[in-house]
Amino acid sequence: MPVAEPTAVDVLDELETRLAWLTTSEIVFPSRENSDNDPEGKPESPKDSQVVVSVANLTRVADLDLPGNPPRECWELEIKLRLRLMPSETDSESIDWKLMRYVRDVRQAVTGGDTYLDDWFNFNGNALDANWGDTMERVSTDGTSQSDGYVLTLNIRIRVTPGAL
Amino acid sequence: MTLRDAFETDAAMFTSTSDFGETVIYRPRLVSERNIAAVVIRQQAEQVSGDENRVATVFEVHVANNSTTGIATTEIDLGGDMIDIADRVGKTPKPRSILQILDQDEGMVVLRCQ
Repeated sequence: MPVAEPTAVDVLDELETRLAWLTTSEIVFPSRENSDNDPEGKPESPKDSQVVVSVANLTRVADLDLPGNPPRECWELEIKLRLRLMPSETDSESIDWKLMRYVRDVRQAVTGGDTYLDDWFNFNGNALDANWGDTMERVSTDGTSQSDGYVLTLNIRIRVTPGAL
Repeated sequence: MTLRDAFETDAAMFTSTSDFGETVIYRPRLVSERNIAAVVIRQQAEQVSGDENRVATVFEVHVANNSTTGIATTEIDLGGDMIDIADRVGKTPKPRSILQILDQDEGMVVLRCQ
């Protein structure tokens, strides 16, 4: 009997669910939809306390393939989490303090929220393994929004049937 | 009439909803929103940042430099205040962040929103 196999989209669904723990943040998975067509849709404007999630490079990890029938291929998904804090003319708190707290909160959300999950890296059974990137890239007064933030990298390895990414 | 008075009078005429203006909702970061008149120039979408896989429409918004009928330069909180704008005329307006003051004088303020 065929068994449902996790895919990259299942991992992203789980990631979205976990980031929802950040109740005061807006989590954006960028779309090409014109959100104005939908009365409920939100425009993807740059906003304060925003996390923008996007999939960057996909890399084969042949060492972690699982030969068999059917064979399973291992892929590593590079997920970028862009944390954004907008400038403010009324908040005198140090931006670095705010950023450090925000980085901590986002990492806490991904690893389980209120309760740290020992197996956070398998994303509810959908992934083989995951780890944080070695560097958190500081972004200052960036782009059109002039916002500050960090780019966190999350590397997630999944095993899928060939062609089923 | 002084030149400053002329600026203010011209601003009211320019943003009049009977002429070039439309009614939009201004949402300050810390206080309640209000309706104002604005001339909105809808531009092309631009990439928000190099790290993100997304673009968003850019708006140039002309309002009177006035804390009742428009937005006063003294009250704008860049990065936190928003204006509800539809990305096409006639569609449902949605909140857009005010990112920059492009131009200002006693009569008018020009804002960049996205």
